[in-house]
This record gives sequence, structure tokens and C-alpha cells, in this order.
Amino acid sequence: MAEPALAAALAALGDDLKPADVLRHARTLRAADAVPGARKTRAALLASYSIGFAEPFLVVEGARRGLHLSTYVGAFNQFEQEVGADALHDFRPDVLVLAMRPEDVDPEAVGRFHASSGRRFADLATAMLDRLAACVMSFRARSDAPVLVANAAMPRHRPLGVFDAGEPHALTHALADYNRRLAERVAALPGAAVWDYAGLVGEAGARGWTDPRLWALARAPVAAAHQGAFAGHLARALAAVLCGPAKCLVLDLDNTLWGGVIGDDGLAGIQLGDDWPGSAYKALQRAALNLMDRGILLAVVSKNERDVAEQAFREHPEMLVRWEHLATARINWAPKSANLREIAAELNLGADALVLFDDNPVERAEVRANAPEVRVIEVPPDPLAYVDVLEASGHFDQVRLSEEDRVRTDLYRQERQRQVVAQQAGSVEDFLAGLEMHADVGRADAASLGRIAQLVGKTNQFNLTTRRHSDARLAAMSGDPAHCVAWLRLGDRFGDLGLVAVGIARADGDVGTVDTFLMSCRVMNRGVEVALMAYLADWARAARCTTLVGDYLPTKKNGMVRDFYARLGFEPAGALEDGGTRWRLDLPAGAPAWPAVIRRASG
Amino acid sequence: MSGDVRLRAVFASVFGVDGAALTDEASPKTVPGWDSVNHLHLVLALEGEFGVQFDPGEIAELTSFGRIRERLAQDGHG
Repeated sequence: MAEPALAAALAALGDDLKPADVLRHARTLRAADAVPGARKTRAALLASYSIGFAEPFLVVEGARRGLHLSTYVGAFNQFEQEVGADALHDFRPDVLVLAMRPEDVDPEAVGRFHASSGRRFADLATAMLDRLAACVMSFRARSDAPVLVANAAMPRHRPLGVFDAGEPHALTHALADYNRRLAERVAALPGAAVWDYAGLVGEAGARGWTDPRLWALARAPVAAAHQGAFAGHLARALAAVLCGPAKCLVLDLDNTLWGGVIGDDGLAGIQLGDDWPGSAYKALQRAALNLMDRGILLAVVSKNERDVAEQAFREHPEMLVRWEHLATARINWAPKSANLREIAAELNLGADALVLFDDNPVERAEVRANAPEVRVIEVPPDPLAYVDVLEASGHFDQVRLSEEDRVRTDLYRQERQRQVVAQQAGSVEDFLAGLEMHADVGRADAASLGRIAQLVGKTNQFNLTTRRHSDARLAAMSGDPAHCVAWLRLGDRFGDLGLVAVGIARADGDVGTVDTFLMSCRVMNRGVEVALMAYLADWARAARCTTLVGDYLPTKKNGMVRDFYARLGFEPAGALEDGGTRWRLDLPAGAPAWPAVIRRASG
Repeated sequence: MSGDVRLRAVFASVFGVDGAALTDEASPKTVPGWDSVNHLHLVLALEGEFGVQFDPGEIAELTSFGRIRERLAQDGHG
């Protein structure tokens, strides 16, 4: 593998590529043993059309999104046969894509929608939903890999022409109804998510989407001009499913959140409002708040006098982002890389969970050099393009929204109030008693599995074993009587903290084993971990176990729980490979007691 | 760059072959990887490079380096 070719391919990823360039770079990327900064990903693609035609484009777009892709392209239109086939499973896919288009499965039901007053399409829609659900479950029998299911795009030509949408029983609405039902159906399937093909075609434009020559000659529905958009959209969905979203948007101020320099132009001189150019900055603020509504934290890093900048947040009438919306801020003259590291530490996040949006290329370069984990958006000079690049970055693409995501900014605000109480309390016991904590504990069910999967997937620090169980594996364990997948929800006088801890135990004869034990760092030092372990010990005892065994598997990030089992009264039971330790507890005698400072609400 | 150089570069990109070594007789029988799918990739790559468009009948006929070279020459890409 020629290194210069790979370097050239990677350098070219930022450019507009001609089809010939895409084919050349795809070959180079495919042949590379490893692509720097990209994770090896095996994607299996099953479609009702020739999706293999897009493969070179997908390889290139995957590299742009940090995925070094290899693909398995299933036989055309053979969904049921392929999802159970040895060839597909021998490929060991990291992700499966199911792309079934109604017009391919039954062209008459779409093209002659009104021949049966839409009944044929309604039957087709129901049959497709059943087939897709059955395919996901059949795949699940042999793989835990996530599945993306494409929804259905509006065809360019609709049966009633320009008035199709005006007829309540027309194809326009039948397709929308199919997509809504697909969303509901897929949400209930383990480890599956919708890939918004309809959104992609709508954004790119149905006109010109298909090149009739390519469709006729190769059953490839995407014209050359749109192959990049098609593959880019799919690669973005793959990256979101496989890599997960960033958690905090860190914004610069001058010429980013407003136009001009507040230190020079003053409160009245900055550009911000409903007229250009101030409208461009206001639009970015609105987009940032939309992210906040979805659970993304907002923070500020700026070289400014703090009082002057803070005054803009508090007093400028056009500011949409207010001071209280910020999870934290660093407004000073220190290097931004250092400030970003401080922000990450303060918010208990890895630096890779931060996204920097800063108009100044010098600052971006400083951060790339000195805090390379931070995701830095390449901000264009024109503020009218800010919202587009923020959205197109895909850094905040989130497959599912849990209740905790929606209220996260509230949670951080409550945390600040708690810290005030902590400073005033005389002792730790007084502080904990003063919080008036109450906890719910229980076994995983459909309502809690999403949040459990999220915590299992992302918790780094308070995590004894860091086992990243897939959604499908968690669903399987929660349905198995020999396993206990337990959660704990915590609340106190300042508000609801949500589902903050997860423990998974397994009973083998008279030995109970703690497979997973983790907790959100928000609720450290409050006895929550003792409460959850008491619950697991109760379960193990009820399952006739006499011993509870737990392992500590060290990672770079979980040093804080090295002595966790010792603190809870477990006895050392030997060393494991790679510095891990095993611990055991005699259940009848030594079970940890539920902490008195937490009122137990159920279980 | 002359049309000939650009044409050979497209072949090199699509099939990973040495473009300079191609003769007019190069065809799906002699060029590894020149199958029906890659034939369409080649056609789209040529269209992208030369700003031309071939109709479906022509696409089926353009099955050697020589025929493609002659077809492009008709459009002034000699």
C-alpha cells in the first residue's frame, strides 16, 4: 500500500471530487490497512435497488466522517434470504442497512395509486413494515450490530401532479403515513434506527435525483450528481450510530455569536438583530438553542473581558442565548486549548465530547494543535453560512432522545444550587440529609432500555468493567431470568436527576456475578452506588446465590473506582489480567445496607 | 492537458491500470475489473471529465478504449 497515495486521498477529502477521483481514492482507501483517524467499519447493505453502485462514494464519504469502510452488498432485493445468510454473517458486519423502496417492491401500487383508491399501497405499506421488522429480528438472532432502516422518499412524479398534496387520500399522505408508522415500528425494535432517505431526497431535490439511464441500465436510482450526497448522508447516519454524538457546543463570542468586537464596538455597536448582518448571528444563536433543547450543553470560550461579555448576555435585547443557558464559560486571555480542557473537566466530559465553533482560524489551529481531541468545526468567513456548517457537521446527530437529554441543562443548573448547599453544610452527613434524596430502583423495561443503553455506551469514569453491551444484548439480558438489569433513578429537593446508575448481575448456581456497574458522575459521593449494590445483592440473594463476585477492570479513565469493592466490604479474590482485580462478598452476612440518607420509593 | 492524456487518466482512476499503456484494443476482455457495473462508473467518470452525455445506446457500444477515444474526438476532445 503506497503511503503517498493514501495521504493524497485523505488530503483530497475536503475537495469537490469528480467521479473519476472518487473511484481512485476509494480504491486507495479500500486497499489501506488502516486509515489514520478512522475506525474500521464493516457495513452490510441490503436494498431493493442496486446499492452497490454507490460503494466507491460510500468509502470516500465514510473516510470524511471518520469511518474506514468495507462493505458487503447483498443480492439485490433478497432481504429475507440475506439477513439469515452465512455469507452476510461471516462478514461480521458492524452495521446493517436495509433500504426497501415501495416503488421497487410494487411499482403498480405507487405508479397507479388510484387504480385501487390507494388500497393496494396501504397493503404494500403494511407488508413492508412487517417484512422489515421480521428482517431486523432475524438478523438479531445472529448479530448485535445496529440496523439502519431507510424510510420512503416522495417520487418525483406524483399521481395527481401538482395537486397531489391537496387530496387527503393521495400518495403524498400515504407515504408520510408509512414513514410515521416505520418510525414507530423501528423505535420498538432492538438496536434499530431509521435512516431518513426521504429527508435526503427532499433536501437534494427529487428532480434529477434519478438518472433514467442508470435506472434502466443498472437499477441504480441515484444520478451521478447526487451520489456524493447519497453516500454522505448514509455515512453520516452510520457515524452517528457507531460513534455517538458530541455533548457540548463551545461557542466563541466576537464575530461568532454576534458581529463585531464587543470590547471595541461596545454593547450598542455589535451586530445582532433581525436585519442583515445581525440576523446571521441571531440565526446561529437560535440553532445553538435548538441543540440545547435536544440536551446538548452550551458553553462559551472567548478572549474578552468577562464583565463586558457577560453584560452583553444580560443586557443586549437581541441576545437569544442568555447567560443562564450556558453550562459554563471561560472568558479570559488564556489559550483556548487550555480553556477547553478546563471546560471538559468541569462538565465531567472527555475533550472529544466538545465541539468548538470559532470564526478565527488562528484559534482553531491552536486548538487543533494543543487539544486535538476537541472536534473543531471549519467555520466559513460568511456568517450566513454558519447555521449550515453547524448542522452539516453531524457532530450532534443523536439516534434517540431520552428524557434526560431533554432536561440536561436544567440538571446542570440544579447541580450548581446543590454545590451552594454543600458549601453551607457543616458535614457531609448534614449535606446529604439536607438534599432529601429519594430513589426508585427497578428492572429494565422498554421505557428504560434506551437510557440504560446510552449510559452503558458512554460512561467512562464511574464504570467498574466498561463493557459496551449493544442495545440488542441489553434487551436480551433484560428478558432473561438469570440476569438482572437494574436501574436507579434519583431525585432530591432541587429536582429530578433521572436515571443515573445501572447495574447488571448474573446468577450461575449459587454465585452471583456483577457484569456491569456504572453511575453518572453527576451523583458522585451521595451513596447512590451503595443503594444500587444493595438492590443487586437483594436480587442475588432471592436468586439463591450465596456469594456475589465483582471485577474491577482498569481503563485510562476509571481509576476513581479502583477501591470501590473494598469500600463496600467485598474481600479481595485475586488478580486478573491487565491489572484488574476480583472481589467477593458472602451474601447472607455481608450485604451492603440501603443508605439511610436516600428514601426508597419502590422496588 | 490533451484529451488523450485526460482519457488515459480516467481509465487509470476507474480501473487502477497504467493509462499510458492502453491501446485501442483495450476492452472488457483485456482490462481487469471492466465489468458491467464498472462500465457505468467509467461512463459517468468520462461524462464528469469531458462534460459530455452519452445515450443508452452509445453506452452499450463504448466497449473499447479505441471506440471511446473516437467518440470523444467527435465532440472535439481529441
